Amino acid sequence: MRLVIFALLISVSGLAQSVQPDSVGIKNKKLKYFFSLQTASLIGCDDCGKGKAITFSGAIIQGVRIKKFSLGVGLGHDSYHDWNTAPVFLSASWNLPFKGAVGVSKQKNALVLKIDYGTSLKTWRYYPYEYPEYGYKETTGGSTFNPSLGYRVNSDKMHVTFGVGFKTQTIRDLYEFPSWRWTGTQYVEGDPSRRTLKHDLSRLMLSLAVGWN
Amino acid sequence: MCWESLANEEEFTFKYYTDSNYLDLRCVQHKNKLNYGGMKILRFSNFLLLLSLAWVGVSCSDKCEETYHYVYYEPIYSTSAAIKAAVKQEAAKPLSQIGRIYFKDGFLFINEAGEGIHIIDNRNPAAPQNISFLAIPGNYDLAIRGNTLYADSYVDLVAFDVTNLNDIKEVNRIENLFNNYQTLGRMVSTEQGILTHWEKRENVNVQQSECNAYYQPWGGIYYERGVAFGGDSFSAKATIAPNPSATGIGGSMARFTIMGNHLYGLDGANIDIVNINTQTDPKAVKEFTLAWDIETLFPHNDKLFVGSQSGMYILNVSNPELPVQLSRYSHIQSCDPVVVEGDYAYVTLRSGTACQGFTNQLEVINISNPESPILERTYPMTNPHGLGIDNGTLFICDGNDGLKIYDASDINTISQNQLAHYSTIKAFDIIPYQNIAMMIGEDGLYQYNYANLQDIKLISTITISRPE
Repeated sequence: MRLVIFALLISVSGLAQSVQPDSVGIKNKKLKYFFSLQTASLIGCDDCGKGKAITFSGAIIQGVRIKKFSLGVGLGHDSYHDWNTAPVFLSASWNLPFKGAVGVSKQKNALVLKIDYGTSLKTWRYYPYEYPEYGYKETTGGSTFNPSLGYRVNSDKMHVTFGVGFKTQTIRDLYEFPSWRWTGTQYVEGDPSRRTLKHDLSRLMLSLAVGWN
Repeated sequence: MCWESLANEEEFTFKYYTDSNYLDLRCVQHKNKLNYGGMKILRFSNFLLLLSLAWVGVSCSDKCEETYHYVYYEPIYSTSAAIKAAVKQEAAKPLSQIGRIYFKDGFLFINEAGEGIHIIDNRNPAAPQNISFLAIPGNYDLAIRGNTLYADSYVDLVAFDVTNLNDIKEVNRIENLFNNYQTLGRMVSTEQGILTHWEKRENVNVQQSECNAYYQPWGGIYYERGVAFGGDSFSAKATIAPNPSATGIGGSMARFTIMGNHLYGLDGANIDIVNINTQTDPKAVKEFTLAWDIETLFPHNDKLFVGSQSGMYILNVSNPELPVQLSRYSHIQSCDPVVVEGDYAYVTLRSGTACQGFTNQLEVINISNPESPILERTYPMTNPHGLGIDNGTLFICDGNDGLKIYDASDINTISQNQLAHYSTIKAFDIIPYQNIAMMIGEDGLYQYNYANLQDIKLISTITISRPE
């Protein structure tokens, strides 16, 4: 399933980068449906002593636009050095009209302030060795938060947005270490000791989004 | 554009100019207004952009927090007086955490680990009756001679009169006989009393950590009861023909055994020798030090076979109070209960938690010359625990692989002569006697009738009641 999602995201990301407009919008005077594809680079580090890591992020967002405000839901795929996540999130954005931009003065280009907030629907860990890590039990994902500021170039039916933002993602790795207790006649397995390693990942996010109005 | 915008303007601030001048001026003003608005937005957005970049520049590295949730067991001490006061006969109660079993004169005595002894009327094996419970704090083993039952109670050996099983009375006690029941150094505290049990405590520790910190885990071994590292549990069975006036039969979990007028009990690396010539007045004779890893006792004629994690010892006890080691048969590290019949000793080796090693097998050892035991055959097993033998029929409790019964009359073809295999039970220990095999497993007591070896039948069970 996650391979399917991943492949889907990769393919739609490719579509986004090729910028082939295909109108899926339903125009209304006040309310507009929109659909956008977003790819991004996540820049940051787990172990900063080893340098920064640049990883892939992609998402599809669908929603409605009311004047300067947009509200939508998105599903994506984020990769980090040791993990992958499939975040599902609410996306809210606010267009700041900006007609003074060079070369596109006839379009309603805008600065876009965008905030995504959600959680990881599925989280899985990348572990490069054949043998399992001792005690490793599972990985779970937590909340994700992604404020960004972008510059949107509009045409009649589509728009392209270049953005810079900040993304946080919480991930927990759970370890269990078995223990044994002597009952007087035999050893029986007792309550395990547990270790939970909570990672609050923080990344600079440079994004490119293509949307259809 | 400018003109159109002007048409919507409502404020006129330059009334006295000509129309054309006025309109031109307004146009300029309007453009200026737009540009001014755009600059404001640009400045604000630049500010946000710079703020964002500054923010991410300093905070795009990860933070990690480690939460450790671990359990430990705190030692709880009781005074000797409190322990003695808790010894009493009670109404029957369900089996829960069964340990060793012992059979005598139609009655089964099943140890409830650390709690006492269930007394089962097994005169009709097809319908065993749980008749009472003898509460003995710190009890893990027992043996019976005549009408006297000997049981450990932490560091004491207690003698009970079992003439009337409905009115069992403590008749004597050897205090502090077992001085190795705790080998972690928390045996007896002068100030606090005797370590009787451990209470579970939980602790949670939260700390910030390096995200790449390597954690060296240690699951550890926790102790639920007061007895720790007494050696693993599975020990010998006595196949001596029971005499109603003499001793009973122990399962292969027994660490106690009675030979003649002497009781032998494992106590750490020692064998405690107790003279029970006067049954109600046991006397500690001596401690015989053998090896740190001894775990089972099995009597055979005037020999005492001692199973250990590294081998099997054969002691000559023709002088009961002066054992002499005749030989030591070594094997790889594992747990190994042993039984003997005729010229052969049957040893099961198993791997596992405390047993170490990676071997699970049956070994048949020729002990016709007890000073020079010779390994004759080995047979692979799954995870063998206790075993028993009765007139050439070998019963092996093979852990999760259940109970296996073999015709062992020819030691070279044991594996080819399997008579029965009950694979759906987890079998621990067994006493085969007079065509009834009394077996304890993870789920309770099972009894089989093996009068017809070609048609061995399960005749009764007593199931275990698991605590919530």
